[in-house]
Parts: sequence; structure tokens; C-alpha cells
Amino acid sequence: MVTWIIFGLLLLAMFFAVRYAFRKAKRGECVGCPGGKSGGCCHCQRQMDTK
Amino acid sequence: MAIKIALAGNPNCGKTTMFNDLTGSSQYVGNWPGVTVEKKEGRLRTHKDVVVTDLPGIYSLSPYTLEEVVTRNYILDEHPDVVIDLVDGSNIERNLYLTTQLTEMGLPVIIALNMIDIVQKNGDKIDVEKLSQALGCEVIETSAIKGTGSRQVAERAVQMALTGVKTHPGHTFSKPVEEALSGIESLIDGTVPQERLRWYSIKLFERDEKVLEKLELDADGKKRLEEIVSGLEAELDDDSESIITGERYQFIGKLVSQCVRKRQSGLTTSDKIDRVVTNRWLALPIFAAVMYIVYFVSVSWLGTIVTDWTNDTLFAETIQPAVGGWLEAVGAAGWLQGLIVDGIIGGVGAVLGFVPQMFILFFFLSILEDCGYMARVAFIMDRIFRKFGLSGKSFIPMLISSGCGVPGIMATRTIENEKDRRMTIMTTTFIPCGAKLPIIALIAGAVFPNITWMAPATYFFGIFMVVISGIILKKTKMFAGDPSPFVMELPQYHFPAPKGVLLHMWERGKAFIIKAGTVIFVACGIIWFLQSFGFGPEGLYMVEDENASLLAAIGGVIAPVFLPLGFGNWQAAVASVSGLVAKENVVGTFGVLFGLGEVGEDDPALLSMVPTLFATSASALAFMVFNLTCAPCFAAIGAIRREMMSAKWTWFAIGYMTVMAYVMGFIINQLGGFLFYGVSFGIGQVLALICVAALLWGLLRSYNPNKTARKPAVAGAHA
Amino acid sequence: MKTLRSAKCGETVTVQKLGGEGALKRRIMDMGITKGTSIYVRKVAPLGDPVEITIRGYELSIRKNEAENILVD
Repeated sequence: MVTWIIFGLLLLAMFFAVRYAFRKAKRGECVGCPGGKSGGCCHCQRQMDTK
Repeated sequence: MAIKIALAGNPNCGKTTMFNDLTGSSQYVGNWPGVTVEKKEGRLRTHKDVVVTDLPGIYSLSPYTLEEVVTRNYILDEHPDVVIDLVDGSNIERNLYLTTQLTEMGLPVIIALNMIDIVQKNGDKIDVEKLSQALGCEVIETSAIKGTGSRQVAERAVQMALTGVKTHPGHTFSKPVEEALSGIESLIDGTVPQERLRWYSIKLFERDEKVLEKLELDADGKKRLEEIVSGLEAELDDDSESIITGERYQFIGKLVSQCVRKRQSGLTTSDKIDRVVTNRWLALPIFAAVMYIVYFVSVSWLGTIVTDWTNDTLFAETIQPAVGGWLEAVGAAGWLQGLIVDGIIGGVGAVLGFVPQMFILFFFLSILEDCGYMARVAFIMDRIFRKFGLSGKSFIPMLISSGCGVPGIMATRTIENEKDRRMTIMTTTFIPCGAKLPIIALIAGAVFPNITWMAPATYFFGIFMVVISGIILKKTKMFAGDPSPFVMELPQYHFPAPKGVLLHMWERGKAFIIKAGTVIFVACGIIWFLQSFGFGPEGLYMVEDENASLLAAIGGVIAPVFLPLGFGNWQAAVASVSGLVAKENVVGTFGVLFGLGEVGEDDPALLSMVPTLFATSASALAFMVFNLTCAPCFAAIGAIRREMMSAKWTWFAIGYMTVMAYVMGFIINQLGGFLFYGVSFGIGQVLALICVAALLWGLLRSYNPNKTARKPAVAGAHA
Repeated sequence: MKTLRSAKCGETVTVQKLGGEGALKRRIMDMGITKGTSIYVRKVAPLGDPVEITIRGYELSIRKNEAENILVD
């Protein structure tokens, strides 16, 4: 019984993780970065305007 | 209709900072249609119905580069109501050059004199009143970094948009030029909006090809135009573009000498540092030494200590038994315990164990970037890069890739030359990114524990791969061409702000932790499942021997491919493939397969089990090289796809990387094994030598259809 | 008259004329290198290329074979 509860929670967590990854991929951002496309990719924010 | 504000200015003048300040989180970032130039729009924080568009950073409004064309087309066709021209006060002459062009376009312009804090710190004084009068528009002092003035500028801009009073340029050209311009104006009078008459006439005078296309003068008009222009060119003994540009700068030079008082200074600290760091002879060794220290400390020294503790103590001795114990206590089934403790904690734990190393590495890299050193390095590397046809500008994406390949790939947008751009995209992920660090640390720690220079060596190997790829590719018809011009601005050195460094370090590192908690978490779960179950006579069942598992079956299909590289077993094969999802998975998969440093004496630890996968140490090296060099993770592939804007090129890039990775791994395994580990000379070695020969041929053959060594005029950048 | 290419580190020269054409020449001019401008040669990179100059109050990096097109005195 316990087993299935815990397993269910695990699956739920995985489901959300996958959904998160897909959403990010669709919007073209790296996993873990907030902010909009390109300029928003955490580390390259400052670099983008550099030419 | 909503008010539209356009934000214009030179690159590096603080535009992005101001844009962020004005629009907050309401930004939308995309591309200008059909081009790889970034378009940013947002709503003004204080007036939600006002749209602010951040135009690309440009030095001028010539018709030659994509950014310039996109900007002028935006202003001409999209009718922004007002333009905020951001002028870098500490670099005022060159910035005002763009200003003179903006004020000619017949719309309201307001100048934000930015970086005023730096101007004050330098002890310089700018007479804003005089400046404003001479240029013909209002000037407001701002410091986007400090947050002062931007609100004011936005308010004024909105007011100006409402009144609609257009700015007239305060500058004029010399009499002969003005006469010529009048002549041209009469040619097109009536065919263009009145307020743009001047701008168009100047462009026609410069023989601007885009404007010529657009205005479609008739044959007669064209002839008259040519007469006017050539006539003046002959009189002044110079071409029309140069005449205009020269006179603009003349005006600006005079203006600046009247309005700007600079405090005289000798060599700044920046200069003194540069003396040593970019010194002809010392620069490269210094760079090599710096990167060596960075990687050595992050991975081999401090990093290993922290990682060992995390894997052995934190996970193996504390967390795993604790969780395992709890699960037993609550009566969870054995397989669930296995899934959670061995699979998920084992796998994710293995990856998280390397996170401290990543943070230390990012810490150092942030310091190097923030202080301005890395820009100098691009300058230094330019000569080497130019030998095989890339410019130093390609180095910056590579630098960023040492954190994560995705922004590195996106940073290639600054490279105008299409061929160079593609080549840089294709090779930038050769530089080991943060996610590859666990792979390096694992192999180095498990197989080569006594070679402390292994980690720095992989960084240099990455550069080496970029260099030879460049040489080989530049000699193929697809990529041959003149190297891009390297006209690049160099920022001042400054002491990196501790807060900034920590922030950047955290920004990059955070992504990996989140990745671990999501992508890797799921991947490890799946791997554990596949490794624990197999198909038997009755269907799915839990296997005792992992060699009978589903995973082994899948891996077994791919494994033979890797035999020539010395790791033709299903474990290594599966680990490599899992790397496509995220490079950390290579280690994560091993973590699931081998456990971390388990409780029982018979249960082996990660570090001692990994070497058993490889025929010789050379094979282990081949494995590492293969995984570092082959196709990057899906996220990076996605970025390549977006930047290449072509599926064909994306496949080519991935194919190139994977083939190179395979060949390198092959050579290392065969020849390394023979030379160092007692493997006898056989057909494998022969084939490896053939590969080496092929590489050398690609490197050394001559193919220079466009060699323009000593010619004075150069076609330069083919946009 | 020589070109910027042959100017030595530490020299200050004045631009006399610009060679070349099209996009590259425009780019060089856009950055402020025009007739009569004063250029201070700050640094020559290892291996001799590119060249770092100070012009109109800022630092610019330019290749030697581009500097070839800039005639100075």
C-alpha cells in the first residue's frame, strides 16, 4: 500500500519534471533559466548586446 | 493607438540595462522577421500602454549590416513616436556619430547621456546645455546601472510622443555639400514625406543602395543624381560616403572640444595591466596558465575533495542508508527501495556530487569575464584564429560555452559572416561545458587519479579541436572565404564586483541543480527501471543479473559500435547515449548502474567500478574524449537548430561532431593502447594511423582560392 | 606616407587618407577613423596582429591588414 503511494508520488513528480522540460524546450530556453528567450538565458544576458 | 518608443544606441552603451529598467519583466524577446537579429519589446512600467522596442546596438545607419538595416527599416516603416538615443558619456564622440544620423530622420529624438556615473568618476565634465543646443534635442543625464535618470527620460519621451514635435538636426554640412543636397532634395521632393526629405537626400548622396532600391528614381533622375554626386566627389577628391562621414565627425569633434572637458590622465591602471597581460610574448603563456589554474583548482584539487565527501559521506553513508532505512520501516516494497535509493538517489546523487566543482569553476570564470580579461583574450586569440580563417569574435561564444553551450551558440549572432558563423556554431560545443565536468572528473578521478593536469588538458583539447576543425573546414569549398574583419571595441578593465561575480556564478550553477532535479531525475528513474527489469518467459520480471536486463539488451545493440574505441560494453554505450538528454546523465547512468559507495562490502563503488568497463586506460580516455566531443545535449542541439535556421545544417553539424568524436576516440584507443599499454600492433592500429594521416592531409593541404595576401583593398565582410 | 600597419607601438599618427572600399571602409570610418583623426597605437598583440589603438577617446582593435588601408603620417 505504502509502496504504491510513494511510487505514485514519484510518478507525479516525474510527470511535472517532464512537462517542465518540454515547456522550456518549446520556448527555447535552457532548463533552469527564467526570463524570455535569448537575452534571458542567464549567462548570456550581458553578452547579447555585445558586438 | 499605443505610443511606440524606440531605444537606440551603440553596442555596450547600457541599452539592455536601461531597457530592463524601463520594462521590467514584461519583455518579449524574439527575432526580427526572417533574420537572426534579436528583437526585444516590452511595456513601459509606468505607462502600460506604451511599448518600448529595444533596437539592435549599432554604430551607424549604413546599409551594410543586418542590424543597421533592421533598425533603419524599423524607424522608417514602423513609425515609432519617439526615439531615445542612448549615448555612452564616457565614449561620447563615437556615440554622437549615430546621434547625428538619428536626428536627421524626422522624428522626435531625446538623448539619454548614459554612464554619467563613470564620467563623473573619471573627473570629466560635460556641458549638457551646449550639447543639447548644438545637436537639436534634449539631453538628460542617466546612469542605467545606478538606475538614475531613466524614469525621467521615459517620461519626457512619452510627452514628446504626445506633442509630436519632430527633432531637427542641429548640424549642417559644408556649403558645397549642402548645395548638392539641395539639388538632390529637389529631385525627390514630393515623393517622400517632408520630414524625411533631408535623410533621403543624404542617403542618395551616399549612393545608399537600399535607398536607391526603395526610391526607384527614373533614368533621368538617376543621371542627375550621379552628376551631382560625382561632381562633388571630383571637387573634393573623395568619395561621397567619406565626405559625409568625415564632416559628421568634424562637427562632432568640434562640438566635443567645446562641451566636454576631460581630466588629463596618464596611463590608467587598465593600461598598466594590459602591458603585461596582452604583451606580445607573455599573453599566451599567461592565458594558458590562468586556465590551467582555474581548471586545476576547480576539478582536480578543491573540487575532488568536495566531491569525494559528497559522494562517499553525504550520499553513501548518510542519505542513502537513511532513506533506505525509512522505506523499510514504512514497509515499502523492495523494488521501490531499489528505485529510490539505487536508482534515483544513486543517479542524481552522482551528478549532484559534482555540482560543487561546477560552482567553483563558474566562480572563476565569472571573475575572469567580469573584470574584462576575457575580451582581451579574444584580441589575443585573433591572430591564431585568423590563420585558419576565423576571427577573434568567434572566441567569445567559445568562452561562454565553457559554462553552457546553449548561450554560447546563441552568442554567435554577433558574427556577421555567415560561413564563419556556421563554423563557430558547429565547433563551439567542443569546449567542455559545465555539464561535461562530471564526466571529466569521473574519468580523471577513477582512471587517472595521479594525473592532476587531466582537467585543464580537456579544456585545451577542446580548443585544439576547434582549431583543427577550423583549419580543415576552411579548406573545404563550403567554408572557404576571407576571414571577417576584426574591428572590435575593448572595454576597460575593472575590478569585478563580488556581488556580480557571485550572482553570475549562481545563475549558471542554479541551472544545473534544477536540471538535476528534473531531467536527470526522470532519466535516472527510467534507466533504473530498464536496468532492473528484463523480459523472461513470463514477461517482465526483476532481474538478478543486470546483464539480462532490458537496458543491457538495448545497450548490447549499440555497444559493438564502440568496440574499436575500447568500450564496447552495454554499460558504456548506454551511458553515452543517455548523454544526449543531458551530458550529466553519463555520470548519472553510471551512478544508477554501480551505486555510489554502498553499504555492503560486496557492493562496489562508482570510482572503482568504472575502470572495469575499459580495456585499457587509453580506452577510458577515448570514452571521455568521445563523450566530450560528440553531439551535444538536446538543449544545445535545439539551439543549433534555431541558430542555423536549417535542418540540413543542423544535421551536418551534429554529424560532423559525432564523426570527429568517433575518429578521435578511435585513434586514442588504438594508438594509445599500443604505445602505452602493451596492446600489440594490429589492424586496428593500422586503421588508426590511416585516420591520422587523413586528418593531417585535411590540415596541411593547400586550398586557397581567395587568397588576398598583399592586396591593399579588401572585400571584407560579406554580410 | 605610411600606413597604420607600419606604425609602431607608442606612436601617435594622423590619418591622411583611407583606402579600401564598401562595407569595410565604411565600418572603419563609422568607428571614427577619418581624415585628420589622431591615432595612438597602444599595443600590438602577440604575433603582431591585431593592433590596439586609442581613437576619439576609446580603444579599438583592428587587424593589421585592415590597418593597411589607413594611410597615416
